[in-house]
Amino acid sequence: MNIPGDVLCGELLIRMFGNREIIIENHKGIHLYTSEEIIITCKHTMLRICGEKLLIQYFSGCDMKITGIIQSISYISKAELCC
Amino acid sequence: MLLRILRFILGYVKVEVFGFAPERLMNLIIKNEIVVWEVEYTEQGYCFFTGRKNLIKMKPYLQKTNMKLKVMERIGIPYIVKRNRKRVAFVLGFGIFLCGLYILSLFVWEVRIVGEDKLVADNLLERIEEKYVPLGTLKKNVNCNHLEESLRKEFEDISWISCELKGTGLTIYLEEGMAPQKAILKEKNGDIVAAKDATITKMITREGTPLVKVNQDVKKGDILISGTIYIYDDNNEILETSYIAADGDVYGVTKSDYEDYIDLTYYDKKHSDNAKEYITFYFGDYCITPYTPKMQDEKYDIYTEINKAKILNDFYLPFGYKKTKCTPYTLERKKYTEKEAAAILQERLNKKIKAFTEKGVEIIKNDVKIEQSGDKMIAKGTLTIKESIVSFKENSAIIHDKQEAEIGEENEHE
Repeated sequence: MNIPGDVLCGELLIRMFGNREIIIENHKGIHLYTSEEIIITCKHTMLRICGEKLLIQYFSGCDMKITGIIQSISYISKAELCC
Repeated sequence: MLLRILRFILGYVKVEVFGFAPERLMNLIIKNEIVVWEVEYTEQGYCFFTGRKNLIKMKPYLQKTNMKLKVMERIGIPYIVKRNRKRVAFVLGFGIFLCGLYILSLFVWEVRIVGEDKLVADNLLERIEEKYVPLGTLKKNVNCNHLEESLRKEFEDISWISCELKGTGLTIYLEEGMAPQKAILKEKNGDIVAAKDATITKMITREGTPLVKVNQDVKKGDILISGTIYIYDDNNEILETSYIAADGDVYGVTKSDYEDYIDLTYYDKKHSDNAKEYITFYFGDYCITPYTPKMQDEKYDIYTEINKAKILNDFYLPFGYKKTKCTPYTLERKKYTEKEAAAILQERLNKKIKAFTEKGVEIIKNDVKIEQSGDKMIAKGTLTIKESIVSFKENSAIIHDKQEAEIGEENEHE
C-alpha cells in the first residue's frame, strides 16, 4: 500500500510559491506569531518560518496560508523551543 | 471574488484581540471551526477579520483565555441596513422610485418620425398615435414589422420605412417616392394604359404587345402596351390566349393647366415687444399651470415648446413641462405693388417647375402669363411637359374570369 504520509499519519503538508506564499496543511495551531517569525505546531514537531512582513492570509482548522517575504523554514523540536 | 461578495452580503467584522496569550485564543477558535482571515500582528495582539456571527461564538474562548476583543470595523449589508434604520422612508422612497421607473420603461412614451417631408411626417405621426401606437402602449404589444407593413399599405407615397423601438421611444425612419409601383406591376397581369391625354414621344416595350406608335395621340385610358398575348395556329385562328404583366416606358407630351393668384391687399402682423411667458407642467393628459399671465390684447401668437422628461437619449417619461410664449400683434393693412405680386407668383411658378424637374419631368413650353385683374394678380396658362404617361390596369378579361369563378364557387356551395 502506497498511502501518502499526510493522510496516514497526519504529516505536515507544505506548498510554497516562491518566497512570497506558503500553504500549510495538517497543522495543530500556532505557537508564536509576529511579523518576522511564525512558529506552527505540528503533530510531531514544530515549523519555524522566518521572514519579513509575514501575514496569515487565512487560518482554519486544517490549513493556513502565509504571505510575506519568506527567508527560512526550519523544523525545531519542542525541547529546543524550551531552551 | 464570489467569497468576498458572500462575505459582504452576510456581514463581517475586523477585530483586535489583546491580552496574555493571543496564540492560545487563535488555536481555540480555529479548533471550533471559526474561520478567520488576514491575521495581522499588532503591538498589543492580533488583528483579523471574521464573520459577523462568529463574534458570539468567540465569547466563551475570550473568557477562557482572559483576552479582550475590540471591534475595529463593521462591514457588510446587515450593518448598512442597521446604520440606515432611521432612514427607512428614504430607502422606501428610493425603492418606489426605482419600481416606478421600471414600470414606466415598459411603455412607449414618444413617437418620432425621421423623414424628408415635414407635412407627410406630421400626418403620419398623427395617424400612428391615433390608430397604431397611442402614447402609453405596452412595448411588448408593438410589433415593428407589422407596423411597417400597415404603414406601407396605408401610405402609398412611402417607398422605404423602418421602425425602431429603443428605450421608451419609437422612431420611424421613412423615405418618400414612387418605388412600390414596380412591385405591383410584377405581381398582377394587365395592360399599360395612358394616364393622361398625350402625344407619344418615346416608347420602350419590355413585355407585352405595343398597340400605339410614336407621334400618335392617345387619350386617357387608352391601352398603350397590351398584356394579352394571342397564339395563332396554322389557320391563323386564335389557339391560345395568355395574360402577362405588360412592362415598358412610354413618354408623351401633355398639357398641364396652371392657375394661381394673389390678393394685392394683405394684412401684415406687427408683433409687439410685450411678449409674456408661462410654464405648464403635465403628466400624461393632466396639466397644471401655476401662473397664467393676463392677456389684454385680443390677438396674439402662441408658441409652445414641449420639453419631455427623459433619461439619457431614449428613455422618455410621460411627464415634463411646456413653455408657452404669447406675443401680441396688431394687423396692418398693406398693399403689394404690381412688381412685388408678380415676383411672388413667379417664385411660386418656379417652385412648381422645380418640383416637376426633380420628378424627371421635362418642361417643353411655358405659356403662363402673369396679369393684374382688379384687386388680384393672376398667373394663368398652360405648361407643356414631357413625362411618363404609364399607368397600370389589371386585365379586364382576367377580372371577368375571376368573377365568374367566384360565382361558380358560390353556386357549388349552395
